[in-house]
Amino acid sequence: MTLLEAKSGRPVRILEIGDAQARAQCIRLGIGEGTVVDAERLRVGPVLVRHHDSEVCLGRELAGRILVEEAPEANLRPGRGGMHGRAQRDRRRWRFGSKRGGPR
Amino acid sequence: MSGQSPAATGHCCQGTTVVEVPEGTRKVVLVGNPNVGKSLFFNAFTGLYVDVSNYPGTTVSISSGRMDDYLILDSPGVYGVSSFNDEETVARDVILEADIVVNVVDAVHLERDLFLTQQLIDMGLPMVVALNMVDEAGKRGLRVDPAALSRELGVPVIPTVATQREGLEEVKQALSEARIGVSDPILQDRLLGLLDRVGSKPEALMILEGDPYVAERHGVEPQGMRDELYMARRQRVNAILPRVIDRREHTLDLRTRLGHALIRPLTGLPVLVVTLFLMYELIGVLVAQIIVGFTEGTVMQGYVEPLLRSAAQAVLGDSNALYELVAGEFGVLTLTVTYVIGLLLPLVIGFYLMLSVLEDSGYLPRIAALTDRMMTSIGLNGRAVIPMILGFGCITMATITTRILGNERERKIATALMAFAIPCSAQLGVIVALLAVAGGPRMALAYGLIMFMVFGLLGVALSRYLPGTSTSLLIDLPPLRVPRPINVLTKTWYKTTGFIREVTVYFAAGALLIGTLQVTGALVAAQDLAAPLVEGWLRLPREAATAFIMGFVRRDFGAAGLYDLGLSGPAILVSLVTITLFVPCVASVLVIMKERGRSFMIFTWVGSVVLAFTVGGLLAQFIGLL
Ligand SMILES: Nc1nc2c(ncn2[C@@H]2O[C@H](COP(=O)(O)OP(=O)(O)O)[C@@H](O)[C@H]2O)c(=O)[nH]1
Ligand SMILES: [Mg+2]
Repeated sequence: MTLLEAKSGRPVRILEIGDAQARAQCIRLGIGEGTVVDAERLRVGPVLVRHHDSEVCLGRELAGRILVEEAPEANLRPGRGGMHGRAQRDRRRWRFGSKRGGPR
Repeated sequence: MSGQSPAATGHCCQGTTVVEVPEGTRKVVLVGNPNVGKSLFFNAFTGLYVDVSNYPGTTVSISSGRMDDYLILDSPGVYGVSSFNDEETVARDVILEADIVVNVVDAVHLERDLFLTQQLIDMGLPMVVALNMVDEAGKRGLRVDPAALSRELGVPVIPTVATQREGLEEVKQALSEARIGVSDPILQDRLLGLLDRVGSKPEALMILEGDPYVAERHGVEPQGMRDELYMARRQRVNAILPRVIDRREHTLDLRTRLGHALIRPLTGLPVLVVTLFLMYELIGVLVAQIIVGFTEGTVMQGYVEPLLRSAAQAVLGDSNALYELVAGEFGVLTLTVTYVIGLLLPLVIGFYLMLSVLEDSGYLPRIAALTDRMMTSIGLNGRAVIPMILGFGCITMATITTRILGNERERKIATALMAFAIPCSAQLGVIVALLAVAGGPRMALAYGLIMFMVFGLLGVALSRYLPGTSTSLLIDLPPLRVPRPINVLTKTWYKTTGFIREVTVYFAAGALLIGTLQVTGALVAAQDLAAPLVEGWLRLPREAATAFIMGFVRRDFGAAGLYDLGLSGPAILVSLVTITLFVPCVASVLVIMKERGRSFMIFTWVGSVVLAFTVGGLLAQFIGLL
């Protein structure tokens, strides 16, 4: 699936970024291919990608050209108190298994 | 995302030197990601006597100053060295000339910042790392071990808190110990292979990473190894991180939460509306009406212009064409001075002040994120809010700022939208006053809605018919901070002087053009020509034609001319819509020509005349039916 289709609040692993310059910029920012990130599609807005202490906003068109897979095993924010807001609610639901998506 | 051809940035030709230095002086370049504290270092190192120059062909400025035997240069913030945009091109050229690099890194965002650090090390530049913001890292439960980082990188690492001036003296001392760090041996071998052809290791790395401009300078093919080298570098950095960072339990702080609230529409939009309202009060009311009333009316027209006129009279005598051209109604001397200093200067200062506050607080990238979706529907992305906001100040200034946009297509869309549909502040002042006369809030609402619709439709049309594709938003959100007044003031000052220096000549040229039209009688002929259109189609009195013609000169002149006509409410609405859509002022037309080329300038000029009369006329016919 693409980053745009990823469920908000679930950790995903970035597999492929379909734009050369964006690929380079993402590697610089620490969210290159292979990285597990926390993605949230903002309402009427871009996709917010969080990784450790940084936050990056990606326009939807670009997010649609980034391939990702779910990475449920990843401990995304080591030593962090947790997420919040919608992201946190989604994540809890997922933890309790009520909305679990099938494995890719 | 690219789309910039090597020719587009023609300033980086062979042998470009950013700043000339006497023999024996060593160049120390401050390099780092955006918002890491470079400017604080620069100010602390150099003190008062600094030189700020605009890098040719960009809106990026370079500051330089002396410290002992060193020349210190502040470079624009970048995440890596290459040529994706103007900032990077400028930073790259400054770095390529460096004798020593002081790499400022943000201890809170080491994962991001060390990529640039490692790239600089790979370039083989002697350097010192200033590990800044250790105070903030502490608050976030992060501890970075400078000694360990120094061992890993092979260069001196000094912990600092630039805001408290902690560690700055140590960085200064460490300059003499700047070293070339630890790089990948295989990469270094490759670089040696290129070295005899290129002559400098940093440039060899740029070529290996596929930088087309540097390759062109040396007449070699850029090599497409960027992805491979970037991945390897990233892996190396990620391996270093756990060995130097101690991360403890930590919960999300208030600032991060606030940051999120600003990019979510439900909370972010109200904040944006309030911000824009405050901006309007400050710029539209305080600066545009009260301050400009004083500088333009009292100072310029009251004292300076009469002085200039009598001086011109003494030299040229009066009532001849030359006098008219120099100091007449549209005299080059009088009009330019009044316009640039009396009107533009306060407005531009106001706008850059605001922009600097938005920028330094970290709010601007969040506005970009918040508005991104809306912007994509008109073929732009969130970054375009910057020129759009500036457009309400001065279209000429905003047109120059479109250089920050991703590609030429986006610059064209933004330029055209501003030229067509955004009233500049000079004009806005008169428009607001006239709307009040015409019937208050209801008229203002109607005007706002019509302009918003035209703006939207035009944007959609441009984005559909202009060839190419626009770039997407990809923006790193910096932490929210309370801006430092000194930083805001210096930024405002340098941007304002840079702008005034760049455009004064265009305003002078514009005045000359209009003055010539007047002296030769062409202005009156145009008025007669336009009269039937104005009377028949727009259903306005004949004299309104004068107002439109005056709009060629200055957009607010045009609007001001409508005051004295005693128009009815609906007629005012029609004329305001028409005059807003009508051609941009002469200076912006000239800057559009310089930035976008002549055919695009003709397109916006002719297009705005057609659009103004079409929309205005349709509105007049529609109102007539009611
Ligand atoms: N807490 C803290 N803030 C800092 C430190 N250094 C810089 N800042 C803040 O970071 C922001 C960016 O600084 P600036 O010098 O403009 O960064 P530049 O973009 O790299 O030139 C400013 O608001 C500074 O006050 C530091 O060591 N600690
Ligand atoms: Mg700076």
